[in-house]
Amino acid sequence: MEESRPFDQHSEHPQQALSMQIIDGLQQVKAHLGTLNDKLRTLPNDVASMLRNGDGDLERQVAVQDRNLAPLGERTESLEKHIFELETHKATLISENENCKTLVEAAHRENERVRSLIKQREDLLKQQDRQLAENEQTIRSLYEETDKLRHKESALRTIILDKAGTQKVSDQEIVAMFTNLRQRIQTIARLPVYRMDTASPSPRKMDEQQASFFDNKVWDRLTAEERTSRVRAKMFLMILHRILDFRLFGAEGVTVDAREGCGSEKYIAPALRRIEEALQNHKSKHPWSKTSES
Amino acid sequence: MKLDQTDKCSSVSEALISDWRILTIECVDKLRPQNPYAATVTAEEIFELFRPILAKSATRRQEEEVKAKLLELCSEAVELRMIMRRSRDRYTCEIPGTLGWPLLASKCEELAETVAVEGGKPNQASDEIVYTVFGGLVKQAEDGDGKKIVLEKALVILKRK
Repeated sequence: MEESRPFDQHSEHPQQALSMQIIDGLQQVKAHLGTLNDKLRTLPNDVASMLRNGDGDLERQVAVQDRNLAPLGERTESLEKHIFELETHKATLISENENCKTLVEAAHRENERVRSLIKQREDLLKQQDRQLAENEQTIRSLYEETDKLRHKESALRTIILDKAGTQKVSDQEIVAMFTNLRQRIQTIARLPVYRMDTASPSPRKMDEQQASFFDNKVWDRLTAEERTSRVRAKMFLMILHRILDFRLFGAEGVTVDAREGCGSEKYIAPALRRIEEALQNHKSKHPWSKTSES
Repeated sequence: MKLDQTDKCSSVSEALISDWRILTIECVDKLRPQNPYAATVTAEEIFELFRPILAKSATRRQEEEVKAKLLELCSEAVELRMIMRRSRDRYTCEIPGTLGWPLLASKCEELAETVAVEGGKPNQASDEIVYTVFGGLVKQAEDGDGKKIVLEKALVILKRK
């Protein structure tokens, strides 16, 4: 895979480049040696021609040639030594190159192995995905089934409750009763027997609730109309807390004998209210359940 | 699709609760007194609270008249409440300031309607609600996915700027 590729490049290239350089060097040395050999071959001829040409200073010339030949021989020796060293180095490099090739092959094999492992994992993941999709399908169809059953249940409950005499009242009727209450409160608050034109009554004659409602800091700065409005609001709030927002059962005030062991509560409505509260608190959290009652 | 973790203890559905409530009300209806208790008690409380502004010259007969009107009002309220409670749809009376209905007029326009500005003219209105004169009527249909429909808006008084 991707990770092993840099390894291939780094291992092969520098080694090969070096080998190439060495081989170039060797070839240059060989060429040089060739030239020298040629010179050596032609030397006797040169000497002979010199012998032929001259006599007096021939020996001197030979001596000069001999002196010249000595360093050439030394040079040849050192070059041969150098060639040997280079050959040795070349052999080392070739063997290193072989090692590298082996390593690269091993890396390739490892690569293949990892690739096949990845392929296996991918296949496994694909299989799991398919399984998940199937499971979701099953869940969806179960939900659909549940929904169908709930509709059936709802239909049956409607039948049962209709038999129990549930009242069917339209929104319009409820709205009419509701606005009628608003109207009634307004009429009562506007009764002339309620005096909205007098200042705040003396706190000494009032209980806590009255003192807070008729607080002179508020009451005395209001106009008669504003006072009427506040009285309406207070009447509404009392009705809201005690009736319209209260878990009424119609059995408020109904009592039973408080028997020993059954607690001292003789009214039945508070007990019913507590049952309804307990049911609300343990309401199911299914996706299809209705929103909670406050 | 997301699965909710269902608490095994919490297995009462809203529908079952409303069935229980409706059938219980139906049963205890036979025990219902002539004058609903909640109405009598509430009417009495309202009368007592507003006694300080009752005219000093008011006769016993005038007082009885007020009491009768209050009892009539509260009895009707109980009657309405019982209808709301007997319904499979959920009817509630709501006021701004409760959960979901903030106390700023601009934030609960669908529930509330302004009727006056306390201590000022309508053009001096702020956005703040001082109090609710009368609540709104809200319905959540049994099959309406919990969507709230305002059948009648609440009447509110705004603070002066």
